[in-house]
Amino acid sequence: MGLLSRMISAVSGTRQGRLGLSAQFEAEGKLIAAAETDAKGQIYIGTKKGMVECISLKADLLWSFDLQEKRSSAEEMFLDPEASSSISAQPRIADINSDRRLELFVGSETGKLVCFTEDGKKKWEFSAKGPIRSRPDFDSASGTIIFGSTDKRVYCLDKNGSMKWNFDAKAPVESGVTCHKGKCFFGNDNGDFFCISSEGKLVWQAKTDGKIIATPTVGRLFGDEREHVLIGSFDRKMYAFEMDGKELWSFSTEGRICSDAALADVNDDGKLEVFFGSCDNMAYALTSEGQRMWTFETDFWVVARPLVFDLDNDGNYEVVIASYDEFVYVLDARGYYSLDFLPGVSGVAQQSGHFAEVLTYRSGENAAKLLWKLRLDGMGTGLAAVVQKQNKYIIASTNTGKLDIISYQKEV
Amino acid sequence: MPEELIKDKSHIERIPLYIEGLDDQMEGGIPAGQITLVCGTAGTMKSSLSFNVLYNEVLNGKTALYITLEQSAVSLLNHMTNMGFDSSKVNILLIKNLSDIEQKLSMAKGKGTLVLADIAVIRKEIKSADTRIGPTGDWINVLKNIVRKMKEHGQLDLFTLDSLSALYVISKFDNPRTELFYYYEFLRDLDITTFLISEMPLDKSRYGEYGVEDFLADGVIRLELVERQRKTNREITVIKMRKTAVNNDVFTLEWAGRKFKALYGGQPALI
Repeated sequence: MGLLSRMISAVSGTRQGRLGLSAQFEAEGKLIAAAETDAKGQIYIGTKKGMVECISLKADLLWSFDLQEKRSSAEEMFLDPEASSSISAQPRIADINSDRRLELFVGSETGKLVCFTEDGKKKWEFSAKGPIRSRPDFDSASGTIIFGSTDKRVYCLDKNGSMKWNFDAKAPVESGVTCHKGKCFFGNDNGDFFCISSEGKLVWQAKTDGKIIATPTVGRLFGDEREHVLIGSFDRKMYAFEMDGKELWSFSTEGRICSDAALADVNDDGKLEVFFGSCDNMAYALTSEGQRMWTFETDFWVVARPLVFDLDNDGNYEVVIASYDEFVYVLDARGYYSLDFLPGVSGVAQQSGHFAEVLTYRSGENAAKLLWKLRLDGMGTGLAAVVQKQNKYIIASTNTGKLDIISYQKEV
Repeated sequence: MPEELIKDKSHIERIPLYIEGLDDQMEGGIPAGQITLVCGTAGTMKSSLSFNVLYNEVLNGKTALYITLEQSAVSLLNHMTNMGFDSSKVNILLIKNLSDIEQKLSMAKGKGTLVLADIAVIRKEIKSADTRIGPTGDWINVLKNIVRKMKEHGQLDLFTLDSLSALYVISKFDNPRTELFYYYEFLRDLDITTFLISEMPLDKSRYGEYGVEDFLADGVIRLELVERQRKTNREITVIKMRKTAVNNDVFTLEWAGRKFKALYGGQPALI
C-alpha cells in the first residue's frame, strides 16, 4: 500500500487486511458460553453434552473429559435430558495452589464444580444443590474459588475443594461472580446486586428491576483511584456502582442485558469506555459517564461479552461483537462522527469505505464504524481472545457446537 | 412439532369428549393436539370424564397415558370398573417403577394401549429407596420424561395429568407462569391431545392454583356440583375451546348407561 493510500486510510478508517477463519473445531455438543484461554494459547470449552475439551489454536483436541455421570434409570427420570450434565458456564483457569500450574474449574447443570489439572486430570469436585450456570472466579485475596448456583447460594471453596463458607442470596444465582481486592460481586434472579467480603459477609446490596445473569466488571472508570463495578440487568439497563454501593449512573437500552461489560480506554482520554451488547440487537459504547458514544445494530441479540483490543496492530482499539445473527463484527472502537451536512466531499471522504453506514445513521451523531464482518457457523454465544505478540485470535463459540478460531491477516 | 397452518377447518382432526349431546355442540370435539384444562371442585367427575375420553380412544386403537399423582392407579381402575368401564377390552399397562419403564413401554408395541403411571406408588418407592434423589426431586422432569419416552417409542396420542393441583404439592414452582408456559409448550411440541385436571377452590374464584392455567390452555371445561332444593346436579360448561365454534351454555352432566350425557334443561340440546 502506498503512502497516499495509508494516509487516506488513516483519516477515513478504510479497512486494511482481512478477517478470516484460521481453524475450526467441532465440539461434542452445543456451545452456549464463551471459551477460556490461557497464555499458551490453549482453549478450554464446556459443551451442552457435558464434555470439557481443551483445544489448540490449530483446532487440535488436546484432551477431553466427559462430565456425564453414571446414573440409575430411575435417577435419569428426574433429569432434563437436554440439560443434565450439560455445561452452560464459561470455564475458569487459575493457579489456586500457587504451584505455577494452572487449574481449570468447570461448573455443570448437575451442580458439580469440577477442578482439573491443566492436562485434563480431575483433581476434585464439589456438589452444590442446584445447577451452576455461570463462570466461577478466583479470589486471589483469599486463595479461594467462588461461584453461584441456582440453589440460591454463593459458595467459596479452598484449593482442595472444601467449602469455606456459603452465602444465602435469597434467589437463584445465575450471574457470574467477580472477585476484586477482597470483595465479590454478583447478582441474583430477583435483580439484587450484592457485594460480599472474601469471608462471605454482606458488604452492600443494590436493587435492579430485572434478573441478573451477566458477570460484573470492575474498573477505574475515570482513570483515578476510584473503582467502579458495572452490571447489566434484564430491566434493560447497564448500571455503574461506586465501591460503596452508590449508583453512579445507569444507561437504558431497549432489550434485556445478558452481556458483561468490557472496559478500555479507546480514545486516550485517560478514562475507560464501556462496551456491551443487549437483546435489542445492539452493541453499545458508552463514555465513562454513562453517555452514549456509539451504537451498532446487528440482526439479533448480542449476548456475548465484546472483546476490546488492538486486533490489527495499528495502534487503535477494535471492538469485536458476536451476535445471534450468526456474524462476528469488528468495529473501530472510537466510532466516528457523522457530519451534520451530507454528503459533501468531506462527508464522502470521511465515510470512505462505509457507504452503507452513511445511509443507516443520522447525521450529527456518533456512529459505529464497521471494519470487518465474518459469518459464523451458528449463533455467536461467546467470545474469547488469544493474544500472542503480533498474533491475535478471536475464539467464537456457536450454538451449533462449532468453535471458530478467527484471525486478522494483513494483506500483502 | 410446531403447529402448522391449516387451509380449511375440515382439516382439523377432532377428539370427541364422548359426551352425548355435547360433542355435537362443539363441532365434534376437541382439536387434536390441544391442551384442555378440566377443572372443578371435588366430586365433579373430572377424572372419570378424562378417563372416559382416553378409554374410548384406546378402544379405537389410540395409545394414551394417564398419570395419577395422588390416587393409586389400582384405586382409579377399580373406580372405573365400578362405573362400568370394561378393562378387559383394552390393553392396560401399569407403571409403578421408574427403573423398568423402558421395558414396560417395549411391551406396549402396537396400537391400543392405556398406560397408567402410578406416581403415588413411585413416590413411595423413591422415598424408601437408597437413591440420590429423595422425595423432593424434580417431578416435572419425571412427567416430561415419561411422556418423552412414550413418544420416542412412537406411541402417544392422548395424555391426562391427574392432577395439576397434586403436581404443585410435590414440585415447587418458583415462577409458575414461566414454568407452566414451558410445560404447556413442551406438550404442544409433542402434538399430544392433553387433559390437565385442576382442582378449583371451593369459592370457584379461579380455574387453577395460580390463575394462569386457563390462559395457557387451549380449552377449558368446567365441571360443577349444583345444589337445587335437595337435589345435587353435575353441570358442565365449555368455557373456551380454540379452533372450535362451541356452545358455552351450562349443560347438566349425567352418567347413565355407561356413557356421559349432556342435557340442556333436562333435554338434549337443540342443534
